[in-house]
Amino acid sequence: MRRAAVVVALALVTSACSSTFGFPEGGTQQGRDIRELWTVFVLAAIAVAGVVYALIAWSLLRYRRRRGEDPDALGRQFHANVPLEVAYTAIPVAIVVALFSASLLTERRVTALDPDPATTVEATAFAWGWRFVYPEEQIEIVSPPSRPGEPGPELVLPLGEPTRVVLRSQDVIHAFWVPAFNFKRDAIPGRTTSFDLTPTHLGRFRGVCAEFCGLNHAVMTFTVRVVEPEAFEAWAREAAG
Amino acid sequence: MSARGAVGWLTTTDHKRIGILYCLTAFGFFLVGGALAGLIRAELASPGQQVVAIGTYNELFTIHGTVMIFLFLAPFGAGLINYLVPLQIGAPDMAFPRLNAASYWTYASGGLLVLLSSFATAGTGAAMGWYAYPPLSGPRFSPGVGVDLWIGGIALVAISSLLTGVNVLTTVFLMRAPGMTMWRLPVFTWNAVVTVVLGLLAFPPAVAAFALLFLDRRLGGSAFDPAGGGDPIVYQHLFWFLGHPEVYILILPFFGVITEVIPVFSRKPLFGYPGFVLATLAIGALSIGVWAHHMFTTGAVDNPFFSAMTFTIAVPTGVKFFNWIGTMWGGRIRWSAAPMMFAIAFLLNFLIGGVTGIMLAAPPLDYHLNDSYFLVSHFHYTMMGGGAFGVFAAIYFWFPKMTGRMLSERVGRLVAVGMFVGFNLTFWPQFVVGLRGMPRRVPDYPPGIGFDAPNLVSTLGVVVMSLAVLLFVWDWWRSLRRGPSASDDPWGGDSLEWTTSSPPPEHNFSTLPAIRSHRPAFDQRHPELVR
Amino acid sequence: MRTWGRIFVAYAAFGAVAGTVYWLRTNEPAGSVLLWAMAAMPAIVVAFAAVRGAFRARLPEDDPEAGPAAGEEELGSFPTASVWPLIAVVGALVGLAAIVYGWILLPISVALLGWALVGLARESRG
Repeated sequence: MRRAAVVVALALVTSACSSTFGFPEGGTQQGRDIRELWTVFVLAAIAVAGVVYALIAWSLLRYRRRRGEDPDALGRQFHANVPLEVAYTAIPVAIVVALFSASLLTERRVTALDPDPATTVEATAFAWGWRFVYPEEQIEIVSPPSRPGEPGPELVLPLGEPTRVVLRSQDVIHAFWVPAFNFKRDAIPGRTTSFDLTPTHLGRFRGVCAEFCGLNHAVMTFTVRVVEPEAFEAWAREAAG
Repeated sequence: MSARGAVGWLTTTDHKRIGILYCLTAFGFFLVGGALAGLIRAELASPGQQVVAIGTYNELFTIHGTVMIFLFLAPFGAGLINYLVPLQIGAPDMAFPRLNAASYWTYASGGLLVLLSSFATAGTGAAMGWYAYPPLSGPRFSPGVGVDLWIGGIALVAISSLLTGVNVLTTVFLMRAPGMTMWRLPVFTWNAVVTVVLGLLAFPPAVAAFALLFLDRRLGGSAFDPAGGGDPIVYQHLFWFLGHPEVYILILPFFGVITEVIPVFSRKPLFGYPGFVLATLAIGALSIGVWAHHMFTTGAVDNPFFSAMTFTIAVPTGVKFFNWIGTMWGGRIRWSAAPMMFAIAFLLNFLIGGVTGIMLAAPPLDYHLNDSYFLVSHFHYTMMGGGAFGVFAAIYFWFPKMTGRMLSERVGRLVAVGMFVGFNLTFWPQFVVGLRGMPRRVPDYPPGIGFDAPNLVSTLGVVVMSLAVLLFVWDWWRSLRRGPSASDDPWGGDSLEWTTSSPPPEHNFSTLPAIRSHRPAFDQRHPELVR
Repeated sequence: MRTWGRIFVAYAAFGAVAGTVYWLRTNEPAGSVLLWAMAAMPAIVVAFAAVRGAFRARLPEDDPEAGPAAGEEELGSFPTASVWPLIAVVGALVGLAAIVYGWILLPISVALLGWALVGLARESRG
């Protein structure tokens, strides 16, 4: 019986560790790093919430006023317990220090810029669409006017190699978000911001504007297509035409 | 002597009447904001656009956010503070009664302007989101009069908050009853103090930001428009310097509420009173240093600094949870009482808001979750699951004191359960769609990518919640006129307001008990236990 | 009396330290000034109270042994009704509407505010 319980518990823990708890797996190296951090945070959250919920449930059930009990009966009138209070302050401190450290390390990796990216895309957001320029390959891709059902312009990235995205905005604040890559960055007029994407999966992924930017914000979408590096070269030659 | 009838209410300077006016007005705005939310959820129930036009939808969520934050939750807290603080410290009124009346009317007229900004502007309504980021809120992209009215309205609400802040601090610092030292203040009053201090520190920069935005819009300034050399990031700094303390301005009064409710219905003193007060003060200070965690994805702020501050604020919040659990531990908990049920629902919901807040405090996770429905759900778990449930706990707890009548206990239980179930049905699915990549502030989403079913469930949850709220409104209306009479102390309360009549007389007290702890009413009932 | 002074000093210290650390890390002016302002605001209040001798006053609410009788002295009079706050706020509202809808409304606003000011002054003189 006890062995069965241990097996079940182990199975639960292992399946929990392999689950992403609803988070996308991450179609880039950066996205996978973020997803791993997410797993750490979710497990910590489940542990903390589990303990707190159990304490609340126990208090409510064990110390409920029972039927027929004197309505004015008092509970035990204790006010404090200093060692306990120190403990319940120190334990959360330890937890957040650990989580903050993990987050800091992941952030450094995710926002690190490769000194020698395979290619560079200058992405410019405008109300309401996107312009993707590959300066090295001399390619320019611009949104057709946004409307519902229109997938928007296609951003092509080579698999397994870092692509530098240089993000700008032409008018109001937008945000470049590819949910499958677990990553977004705001496009702010008057500022330039850069990040790297290193795709790990072939395919097409949905991209959206994540910062409210006016009337057609909801349909300001784009598509990311990840291809093999050779296919990328071929596509670039053809697109530069 | 105060006049009777409508004139009496219009000219009153009695803190109790002003508090009730605040609460009633704020609750009216809750119903307005809830109706707007209902329209938003109706549009999102299934993919495609069915209910409202896209421009109208943008106005809906703008005004929904503005109303709930600036016109419902914060002013309801201000109403409770107005009503309760003088009673809890044994004072005859607020320090500046006429200023207090002016604060209320300033808030009410600000609310009027905000409503006008959307409903009376013929297609040029404010539709820039409740945080009004320029350049979108600037003259080129929102030329209509709506944003101007919105700025005027929010400025008035901010001024009202400053006037209330000065008034409350003067009252608490200088008008406490003999023996009511600061370390014997009731916990609600402590939370009120930190709330108004935050308001005093955080509203001025936001008013400055709105004034600059107004100059940009009307007088050709370019503080925030890069086309003229301005910087939109500066607006974000100024706005979130208010915006983040503001969420604590919203929640702290309701931390106070449930910290009054839980000990009373557990028949115990608050566990770890000094630690609780220090945690409240720490939350107040830290909340001022976390603002740019709303800006992690800009790539233009010091993410580690703000991340560290945000993680730190989880510690005092966690301490409060243990205070509440420690208070229930070993008690005789009457958890079928309506105020206690709402307080328990507060604990269960707010914990979800708290642990998801920790996730959002990590910049890498924020890169995925920011501006998604995950974020929307997170702050509704704190602001609605916490704040609004705190509002109901407060109404059920102090209604007898305010009116001299009781609300129905049975209906109250039904309302609590209905709201709890409806709330979780509404917002739990939003975590799911947020993780799957649904951005906020969209009226539509593509079918077949995992957004359909959760959105439908979420809309059904709103139906359940609305029914519970309507049931409450009916019971409130009925009990106001025909509810059973309430005694002076129907719950066995701890703080001074329970030692005076229900409702209290003008200037509050005929006699005060000796104050020897932070629960003088309890000491008066149980002199044998006074240490 | 002294407790709130300590709290304000602590808030001022927090703002000063946080603002300085933030400035050293980022050289970003907006946030640094905001944090230093957070330090300055409570510091100004505490300094004013200290200069006025407010922290030396012994008040019955700070005496843990004080009985109810210690508060017999008059706190001042508290009005229960006044029409002037409402009129002042309506004046301010009309003033804001003037900015948005047209300056023609401004004289009405000024008149209402002036009327409320005179009314308040007369009322508080008794």
